[in-house]
Amino acid sequence: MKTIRIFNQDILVRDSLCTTDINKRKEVLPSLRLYIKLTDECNANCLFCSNRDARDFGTIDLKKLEYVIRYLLNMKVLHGISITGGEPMVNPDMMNKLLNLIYEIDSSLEVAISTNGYNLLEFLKMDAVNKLESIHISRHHYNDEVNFNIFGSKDVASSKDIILLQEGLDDKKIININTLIMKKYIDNLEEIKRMLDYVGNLGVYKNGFVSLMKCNSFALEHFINFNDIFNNLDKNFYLGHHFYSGEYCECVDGLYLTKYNKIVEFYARMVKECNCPYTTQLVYTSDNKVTAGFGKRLLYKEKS
Amino acid sequence: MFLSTDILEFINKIVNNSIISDKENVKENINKFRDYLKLTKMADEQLLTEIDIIIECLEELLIIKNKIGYVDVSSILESSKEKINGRPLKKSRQSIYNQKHYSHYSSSGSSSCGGGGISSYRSC
Repeated sequence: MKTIRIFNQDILVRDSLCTTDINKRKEVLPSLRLYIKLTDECNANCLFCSNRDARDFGTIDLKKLEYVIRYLLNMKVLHGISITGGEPMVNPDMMNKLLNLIYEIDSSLEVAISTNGYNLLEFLKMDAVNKLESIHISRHHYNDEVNFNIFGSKDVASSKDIILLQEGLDDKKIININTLIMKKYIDNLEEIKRMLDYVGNLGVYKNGFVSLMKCNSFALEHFINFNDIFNNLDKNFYLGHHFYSGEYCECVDGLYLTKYNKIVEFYARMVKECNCPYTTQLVYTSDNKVTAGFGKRLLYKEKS
Repeated sequence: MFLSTDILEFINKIVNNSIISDKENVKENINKFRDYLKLTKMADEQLLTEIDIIIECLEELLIIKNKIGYVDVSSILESSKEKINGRPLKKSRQSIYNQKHYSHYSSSGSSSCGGGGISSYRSC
């Protein structure tokens, strides 16, 4: 870990990559990803929501955000931007303005968006959609109805919407499906395979799986250790890597051959600690503050 | 000279799950696997060349598989390599899965996702 100074405050940042050997470290220059919480509004009502305690319900000021992005670029610590919420697509017009601003500042910035699929097809109207590094669509079950129930909303990604978005994009691979591993839903190897079969049939190439972070009662109750599943893969899988970030986090990746003969890349991750001592991300909140992680220490707020 | 067991096993799985009319899909799947191995630095040039040989011989492999129900890719790898010796292999199809797609991987068995590189996987 290394201490760097941002906005006149010291923060502890990770300065090593994850490695396949838990006891080895590979040092790199510290870098941070900026998460922009475009809004705290959300169309869904997820029981596992990790955002409930960190909502500000402000309005993003693009001028203030521009200042922060340029500042971090000048500091040479910014390696990418993720746009999240709430649900960032509750206001597609604002999303379009934000993307245009980011690419105007630096056209080479890696930008990813996380969405539950609300207004999903509005992406196709955006000027910069084909410049995106990735669109991560949260989809926690292969069955539309079960997925709607998990989100507590029918206004989330349907199979049809995902297929139509995929068809309309120049670069088909930018869509990633993200799935929580949790009891009663996707909670064992057969369910993982059904999910991957489903994703392959949509024509999507990548499916990420994440164990719940044991930071609230729902997560504690529904937690599944991803190793219980991914340590016991069958011959339909090719397991590529198993990475560790010390004691705090681990992940695996590889390929899966679906029962319909499609190749889908999978990725699975488990964060083991709710509070680790370093940060890898900054958060620009919807009320125009910068914090060292979600709901964590305030680093910057423009004086009014 | 042979592919490592786990890589070979997965290619065998891809080939043996298919039928002769499925050749283009099988080829695409093996190419995706090849791209993954290459971009995640899990295969050296020799291994990649061996996968190219398999792709070259795919039709033959699928014919054998259809006739006897199963084909072991490694068993004909050596002879196939000799057979095409002396002429250049067809260049692999240009990958549509470019480096950007693998940006959370890096060389030497390290991941650079940084605990937040994949946007939905918030962590520290």
